[in-house]
Amino acid sequence: MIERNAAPRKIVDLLVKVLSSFAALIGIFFLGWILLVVVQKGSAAINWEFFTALPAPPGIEGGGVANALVGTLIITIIATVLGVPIGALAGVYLSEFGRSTRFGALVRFNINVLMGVPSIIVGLFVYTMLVKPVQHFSGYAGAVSLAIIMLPVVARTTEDMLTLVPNALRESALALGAPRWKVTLNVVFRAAKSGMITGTLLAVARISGETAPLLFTALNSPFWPESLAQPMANLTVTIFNYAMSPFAVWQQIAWGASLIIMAAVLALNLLARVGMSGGRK
Amino acid sequence: MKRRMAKDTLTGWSMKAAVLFANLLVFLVALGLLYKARPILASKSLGHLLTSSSWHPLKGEFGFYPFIVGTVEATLLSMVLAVPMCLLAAIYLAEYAPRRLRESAHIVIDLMAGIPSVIYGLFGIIVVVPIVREIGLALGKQNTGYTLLSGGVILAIMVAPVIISVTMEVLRSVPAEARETALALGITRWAAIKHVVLRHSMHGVLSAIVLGFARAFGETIAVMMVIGNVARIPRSVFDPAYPLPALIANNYGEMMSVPLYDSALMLAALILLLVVGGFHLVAHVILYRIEKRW
Repeated sequence: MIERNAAPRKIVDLLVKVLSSFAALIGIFFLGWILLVVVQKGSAAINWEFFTALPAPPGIEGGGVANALVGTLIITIIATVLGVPIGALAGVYLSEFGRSTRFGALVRFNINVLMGVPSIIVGLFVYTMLVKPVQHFSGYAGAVSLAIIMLPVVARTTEDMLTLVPNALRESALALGAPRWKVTLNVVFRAAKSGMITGTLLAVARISGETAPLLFTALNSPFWPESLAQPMANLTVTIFNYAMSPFAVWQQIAWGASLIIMAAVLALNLLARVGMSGGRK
Repeated sequence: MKRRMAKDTLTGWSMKAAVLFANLLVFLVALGLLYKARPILASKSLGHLLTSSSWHPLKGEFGFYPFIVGTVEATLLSMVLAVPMCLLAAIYLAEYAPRRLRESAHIVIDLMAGIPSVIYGLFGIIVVVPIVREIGLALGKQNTGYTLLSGGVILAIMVAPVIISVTMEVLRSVPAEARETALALGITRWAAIKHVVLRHSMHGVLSAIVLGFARAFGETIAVMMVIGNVARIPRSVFDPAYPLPALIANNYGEMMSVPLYDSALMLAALILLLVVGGFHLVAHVILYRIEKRW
């Protein structure tokens, strides 16, 4: 450094500090703005009828999203039941058996890529497998596509959480003569329990806001969900359809539904965060 | 004893099956799409499909060029808007901010990443679109607000959590000693960041940007709600555009009836998958190398 005077460098340092903190503030600003708009517009739409009534025909006042609430719950639960066990098993394999193997690295890599696959492609894939052959949209196709999206998320978090379990625990159980599966199930799982619940919560949060894959699979429906083999009402596609419609009443309902979904997703995220910090301790 | 051994093998196998399934899923999806896209690939050359601008499904003409341009331009625009801000924000949070602030920043980032894309789209319609329209009119451009710029802005907001969190992680992975050694020489914080931290983490920052790019490239719902969806090549940011994912999502109803239509959409999805998958591949190879280095 030829420059002897420190003042210019200090000024640059200060400038960067101010600029970068300003940039960080912009992020918070947008989050706040989005939350504010959704809460403001959404709370106006929410009333008793919103939770209990079926959608009203276009142009008619009132109507609710009760069927979509139920549908979203059903689809999410089935997706969780399908996706979590497979994802968790894959995660266990990665952490317990394939931690430093070449195959493990490959799988980890593929799971990362799978996590990045745009959700609409997953939807289209399930469409070609489960919708096209039978020629109608169905609730179970929606659940399968969400399960596929969930799988890598669960696998990754499970692996992360199991890696945190100290090796001494595993070794002492193995030294007692317990077989590998029992060690995993009774020792490692128990130690990583809160972490794995966290992972599942995060995965559920991730899929409960998905819209694109449901467009091709569960579609939507103005009726109560009666069978898994029928198109099934759900909140996100309802939001999408209503938001793009020209009717003010429908748009308002879209805001109400957005508030519900957002509150649920944020609550799951925060809950998972609390669980995570509990698990790390 | 035998039963226990059998159980051990059984759990071993079920785990292997799960891992194999998770592993093969990406290839399965790609192969499925390729299989379904064969009819259109057989009827026209890939080069023609990619460079033709004529999109008339009923006449059997499927030119993807405007859609590819729309996707690339919207994504690049979002990168131009998001990358400088996100890098600065990440530098602040990773290097300047006190620890407590850094930790609460994680919560904000998680929340932003957790907001469903349909809600970003709704926010776009009600907030971004009118603002963009006013700006466009002030600049003397006739526009509806449903434009490339609106899509770019929404995408920029959506990719911010990805870029910021990966960059933060990469910056934090630079060992404290390296930073402290530099600071001990009496240089300013920024000089230490520029010459030590950023030099060490250049590749990681690059991969953060690549991941953000991939995220923006495949985003569907939020973009299609604000970008106008007109299959023409946009001449300015105040023109509407029509990205590939929006094309797929908009035509789910019709693709069962028009011949070759569904095949064309499968090809669109395959292109999307290859691009996004390729970008992810690059980013993760870089990140994996970094992880191994420290």
